[in-house]
Amino acid sequence: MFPGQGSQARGMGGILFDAFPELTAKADAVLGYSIKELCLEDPRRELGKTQFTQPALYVVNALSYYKRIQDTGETPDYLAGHSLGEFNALLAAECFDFETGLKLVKKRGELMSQATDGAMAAIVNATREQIEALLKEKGLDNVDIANHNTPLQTVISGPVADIAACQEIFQFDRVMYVPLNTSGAFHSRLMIPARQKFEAYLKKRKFAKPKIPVIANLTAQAYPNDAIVEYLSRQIHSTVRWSDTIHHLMALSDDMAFVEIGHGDVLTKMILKIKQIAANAAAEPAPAVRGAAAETAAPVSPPAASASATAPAADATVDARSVHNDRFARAEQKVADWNSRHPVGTGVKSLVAEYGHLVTRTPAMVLFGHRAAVYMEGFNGYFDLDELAAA
Amino acid sequence: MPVVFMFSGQSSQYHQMGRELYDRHPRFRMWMEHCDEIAAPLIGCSLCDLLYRDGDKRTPFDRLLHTNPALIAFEYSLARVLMEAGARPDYLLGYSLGELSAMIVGGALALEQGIEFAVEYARVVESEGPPATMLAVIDVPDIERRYVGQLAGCWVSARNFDRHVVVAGTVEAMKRLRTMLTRDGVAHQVLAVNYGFHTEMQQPLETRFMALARNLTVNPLRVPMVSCSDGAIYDGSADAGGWQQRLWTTFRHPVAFDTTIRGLVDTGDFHFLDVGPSGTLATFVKYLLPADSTSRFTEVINPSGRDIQTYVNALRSMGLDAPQWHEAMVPSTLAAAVGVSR
Repeated sequence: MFPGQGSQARGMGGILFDAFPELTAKADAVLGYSIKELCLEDPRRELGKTQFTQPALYVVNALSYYKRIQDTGETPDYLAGHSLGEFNALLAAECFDFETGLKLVKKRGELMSQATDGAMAAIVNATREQIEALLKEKGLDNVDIANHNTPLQTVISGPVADIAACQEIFQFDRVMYVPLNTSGAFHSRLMIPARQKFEAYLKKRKFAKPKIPVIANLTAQAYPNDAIVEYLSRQIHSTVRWSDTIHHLMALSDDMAFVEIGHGDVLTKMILKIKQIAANAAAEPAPAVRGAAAETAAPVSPPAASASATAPAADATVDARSVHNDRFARAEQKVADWNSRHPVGTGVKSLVAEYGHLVTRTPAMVLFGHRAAVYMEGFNGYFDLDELAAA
Repeated sequence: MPVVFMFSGQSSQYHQMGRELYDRHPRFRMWMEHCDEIAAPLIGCSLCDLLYRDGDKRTPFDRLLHTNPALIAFEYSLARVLMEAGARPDYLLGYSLGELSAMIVGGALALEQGIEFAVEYARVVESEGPPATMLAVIDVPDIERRYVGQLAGCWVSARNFDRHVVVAGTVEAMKRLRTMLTRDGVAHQVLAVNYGFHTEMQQPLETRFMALARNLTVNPLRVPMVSCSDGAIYDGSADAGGWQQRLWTTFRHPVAFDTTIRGLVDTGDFHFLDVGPSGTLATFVKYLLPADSTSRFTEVINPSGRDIQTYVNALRSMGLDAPQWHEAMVPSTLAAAVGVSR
């Protein structure tokens, strides 16, 4: 597996440039600057700029791959790459040569860097379904799923204002919202102009069919022959289906070994998470226990909060996930039940506090993806359905 | 009124800081545990265990390897829940180590990088920094003149307000100074920091500091920062070299909190919010504001342990609705928690 944007850091590549002087010289000739200087010194602070980041990562990924083949003599059975990393997977499958791939990546980086009017954010500890449901509920139709990295880590992408609006929506329970520092809304509809230009560029070239199966970001399935132009151009504005890609690979063999080739370990960490989530899903607690947890809506804190430091995180994540799913479905059900029995204008009373006679002003609805609530006449506020009874 | 989030530095930490918030505010707890997950592999133990399992607030909590990440985790988590409740900082101000918290909250540094940097620098200081004593001295504005003979091996490392300075120096030299201060009846207090930050004692660490700082990936700031070294406002151009130099200046040179705050309030009114655990910066601001000032200052947490009440008061001071706290965030609080027609 080859990582994509986000894994870059000054110093990456290390001794690889000296180990592969001919390829390094070829890269310099294509790029018109010293790739070694960019990766190791970054004197002009360019490494974080998309048009430089992408070629730099491609070269480091490629040299890392050649080094690994040299050292071990092993070749992979399958290949995959995260976004930009997919070019390295196709290179390793001999769909094109080193220089051709670098030219493609250079072009792609330039086109993507021109899209500067978007933003991206990561949302952790919510499922993709929850995220999509909440986006729909809030009318944020211009926000796209850029990366589906793990079952509980999703990156959203879209117009700056819409991504900013997502912040308030995605902070409940254990859900984390983390803005990302990207120049544009990669893997979203805002990239369609870049896709069109890139497609025209790709169409001028010939590609060989993969000699080793490459699992595509676009479909999470192996590349068919003759799909490179279509897949690489659509990849620019489509979801990177990384979680599905890994699940697809895990399903192919019980002892599939994943090796990350390039700088850092971002993909390795994702696979650890994907495996933890899968393992924990297989060993979910009895439904009665989960029901009780959801019922009290207690703070979703890890049961092992005081245990050793590294262990609780995974448990917490999975707890949150199962409780989330459960609460999400239960909230939908409660809302449907309520609305079938109580029309707007129903008189109700609170079971937990003395508010006197209350009258509903709206149908019940799901708030924050998991709270069943109804808006109350003259109170300017939502009440949880759990605390209400018909008057 | 523009809101300034202020992040305090070393010695504002204590055992059990934010305990009530950790127990009863699910999102504060979540962010603390998230930071713990990042820090634990770096320091070999759990931050939340260190903070909340053992010791009360009088137990010494002064090992830099622990206090550095603990303060950043605490300040980041507190800032996050404040912002999630609707607080929007217009400026971020970091006092010493708080500069790292401010950079993280402002988006210039990834949380992971900020915590890692704080831990790595703690290791450098613990292995190479000569032991020192830091002392808050009260009511002697002209300490350099009054104790001119006793200040060899000591430096003024921070000016907080006219009657409150911090002096740092070698353990021996500070012992001599303390003898004189005690003789003269001058109030002073030893801080929970065992190294001479903001003095020449840091100078030998510059090379290793800069080597660590060069590894930082600095992103554009989303909220402008106020420097406590020179009072300047940084709008966040991502010039990494400039950031590295500025970080070093912050750790190496004296903190000028007094002139920084005075410089700000000369330009207008501000609401200063102390997003640290002790409320000390809010107190400093109180003494720094001119008598006729309409600027405001608020602490979000203080060592009394009544965190929820203090936190809710801070939210209200910004005109924000605070959820009513019961034993936990139970459904009955929903009306208050989201009962907003805004």
